[in-house]
Amino acid sequence: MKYLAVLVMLLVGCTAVEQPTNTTLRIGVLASLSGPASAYGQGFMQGMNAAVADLRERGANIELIVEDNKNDPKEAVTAYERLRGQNPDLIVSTMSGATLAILPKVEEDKKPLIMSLVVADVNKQYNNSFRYSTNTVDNAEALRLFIRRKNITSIAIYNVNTDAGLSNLKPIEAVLEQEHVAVTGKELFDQSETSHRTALLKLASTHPQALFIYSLRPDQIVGDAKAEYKGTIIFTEIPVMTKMYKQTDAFEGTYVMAPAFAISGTRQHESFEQKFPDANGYAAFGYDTMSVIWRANHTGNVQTLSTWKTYDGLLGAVPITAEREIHVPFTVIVVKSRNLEVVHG
Amino acid sequence: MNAYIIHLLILICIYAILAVSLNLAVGYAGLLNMGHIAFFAIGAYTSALLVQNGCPYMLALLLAGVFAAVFGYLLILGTYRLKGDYLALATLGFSFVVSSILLNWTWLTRGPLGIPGIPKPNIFGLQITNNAGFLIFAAVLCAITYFLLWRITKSSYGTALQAMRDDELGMKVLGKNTFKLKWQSMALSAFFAGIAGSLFAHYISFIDPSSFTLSEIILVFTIVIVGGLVSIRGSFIATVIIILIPEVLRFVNMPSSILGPMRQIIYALILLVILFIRPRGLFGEVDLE
Repeated sequence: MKYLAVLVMLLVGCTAVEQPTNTTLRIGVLASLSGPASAYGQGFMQGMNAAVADLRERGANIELIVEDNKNDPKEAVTAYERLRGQNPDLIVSTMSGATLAILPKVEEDKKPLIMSLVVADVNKQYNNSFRYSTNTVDNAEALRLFIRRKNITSIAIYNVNTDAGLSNLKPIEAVLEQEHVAVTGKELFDQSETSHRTALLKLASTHPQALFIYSLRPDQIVGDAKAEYKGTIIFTEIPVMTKMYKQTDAFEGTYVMAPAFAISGTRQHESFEQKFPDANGYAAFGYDTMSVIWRANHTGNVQTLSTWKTYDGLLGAVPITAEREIHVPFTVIVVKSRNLEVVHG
Repeated sequence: MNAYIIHLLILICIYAILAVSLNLAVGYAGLLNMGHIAFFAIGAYTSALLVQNGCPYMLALLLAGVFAAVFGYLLILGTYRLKGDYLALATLGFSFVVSSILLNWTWLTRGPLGIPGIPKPNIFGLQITNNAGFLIFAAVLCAITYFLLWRITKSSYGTALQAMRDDELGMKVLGKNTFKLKWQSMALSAFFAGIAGSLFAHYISFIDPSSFTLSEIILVFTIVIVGGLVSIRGSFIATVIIILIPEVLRFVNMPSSILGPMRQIIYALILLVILFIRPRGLFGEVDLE
């Protein structure tokens, strides 16, 4: 019954009034702790653990049962089956492919599923889920504002051919069409690809005003991109979330998308840096995901989802939609001396 | 029975079919086939797509095997004259080609988005609804595969395969058609890999190209090498060991910051120790050449 209560409160929505409880909330977490996506899962877990520590100080009884899904569907199912035996109250799962694989089983068990770092449009397939993750349209909306500010009329796209890459690309192409921006060239590349020069040369030869790049490893591309193309280079949020822009000078002068907590001078930035001086940005998702779960579980007033329109956490005040997901607003920022500067119109 | 144990037994059944079928090609016929996982993928995608388009499961299962077998035949057709390392490279290339097709033929395979919501098997009107039912089905298929391959390898045909592996020229001198032996063994091996792929797709319920990568080839080869070449029993026992070792490590409590990498390091060390103590594998009769 306890997880049913969590589900009802999470999905129906609530005003957040925290109350300590003696009942232990047992959360099964499936995170990508090893393999190519380990940076995401490790950062996320840092955030979750920090939130649990904070909540325990305030009297919360929370138990995390953590399993490594290796960002692999088979491993995710194995890890979930192990979690099943420990009967957690709800499940937290990260990464699209791994989450898609466990979805039917979580549905069978009627457990609430909280997803994070999941870009694929998973939420519609399961009514017991809540997606606390960047939305596919978030990058596109940030790009729209940037295009208007910079009067960009032509663009080339260099996009990774993965589930996350393709999910993001669709709304971006829609925005470019709506804004009447000509796409001079588009190249999809394999995630394991390490040499990007030829494809970038081809795109540069189409003479776009800007080059949009979406890669999970932008550090492997930025050097070639700057060597072959001298115009405006725009990356998604990955260099900021992974803090890659701080580790190399290669991103100097490029544009990146950043959530509020990455921008100096914001309230969220101070909170984030104070709490996570060494963690990457995915820690903010872990921290907020855990905080949202706890607040939903310990609220007095159950109202409709529309009454719980936003959640103000480390990520900033993020809107919650009727589709049980959030939007993370991004601002396009230019990298200067390993720091971020807001681009003014 | 505990759901987790049932899940592990299902995985053991699927990977046992994959491993014993690979041993037929690599151990008995001497075909260093690095493309086995491609047959697994072909079976998985064939079955998933057919069932999602209204085909009865049992027919889809059969076609998954047949389709993989056809590709096995075609692979041998193109690599008939290659041996050893060269064949390994060519077959590895084949698996990359298949992987690339799965990734880029998006209207059919949905590319990197994968195929979600693959239903559980319906066996002649009997719908499998839980993992216990799936385990029985997988165990029956695994037993059939084991028995058939055991019979084949113990027959004169199995002896002919081993003779071809050890001395292909000698076999030709005796008037034996080694091309026929090669394509038959490869197609048979691919057929069972396709069957395993179908089981995998309908059990996991979601497949994407990342499920059939180099790491899976290494996993299946590890099973065959640890179990020993020319040993169906060895492949089966090695499957149990290789699948269970990482699971046992899940019970070792470690902080989440080192949990993932540390388990993989321990897993690799255990495998190295096994191969150091028994270089031919647990029940191996020949060296991998």
